[in-house]
Amino acid sequence: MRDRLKENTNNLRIIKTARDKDAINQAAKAGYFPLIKVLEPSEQIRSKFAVLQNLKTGEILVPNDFRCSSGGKDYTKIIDFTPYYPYSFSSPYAAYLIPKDITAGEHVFLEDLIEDLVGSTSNQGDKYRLPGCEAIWNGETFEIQYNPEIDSRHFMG
Amino acid sequence: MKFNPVTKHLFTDDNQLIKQLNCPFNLNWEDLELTKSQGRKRCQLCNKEIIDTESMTESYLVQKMKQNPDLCLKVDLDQANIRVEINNA
Repeated sequence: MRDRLKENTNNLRIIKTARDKDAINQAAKAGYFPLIKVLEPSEQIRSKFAVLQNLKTGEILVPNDFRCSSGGKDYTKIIDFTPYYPYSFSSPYAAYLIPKDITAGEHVFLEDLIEDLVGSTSNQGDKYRLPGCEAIWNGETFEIQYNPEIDSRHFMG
Repeated sequence: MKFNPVTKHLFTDDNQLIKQLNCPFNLNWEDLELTKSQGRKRCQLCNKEIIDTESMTESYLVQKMKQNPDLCLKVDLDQANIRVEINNA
């Protein structure tokens, strides 16, 4: 951890991500090389939802947490807790924006990961995406320095 | 309180935004530097204090965020005073 803190304190270069055609083309015109990747939703990344309906008014509640599984006496569970992929993106592809002066072996920080890696888990079985991660540019792509040992229950910021 | 782990927005029970958590670093809470105050740690990357929301009331957090909008918070999906709520479900 201390080494990692030291590296980040030394201001790792931040690599941005473009999430749609316009953003990618704009970055290309600005001198970046967009490294295109297909979004591949991981089967590991899962939240859950249920639908409770007030049969008098028709209104629904959509809990994502087992602790909110009852909406009160007027609500009936129409759909029991069902797993689903909770993210949506503007395009099915995205691109890391590679600066012209990057060199093989450079250690960077990917601000908005395209790859689905587990960042947070809950004791209800939910798993959410890792937002960003350190990586090493090998001249062709980024080698993501993902550490699954990091305690992933917490969100901070 | 309600927390959306997809957008990382933390709300009060009556939907008042407390903060959008925006730390990009995948840090271990246990590795952060202890402070003299219980429930607070210091991040050496940003030199900011991080408040553990587990033992805080939402009214306290709203007040603290008004005083210092850059204050960092820590949320555990399993903590007793949090409910996960994803609006687009």
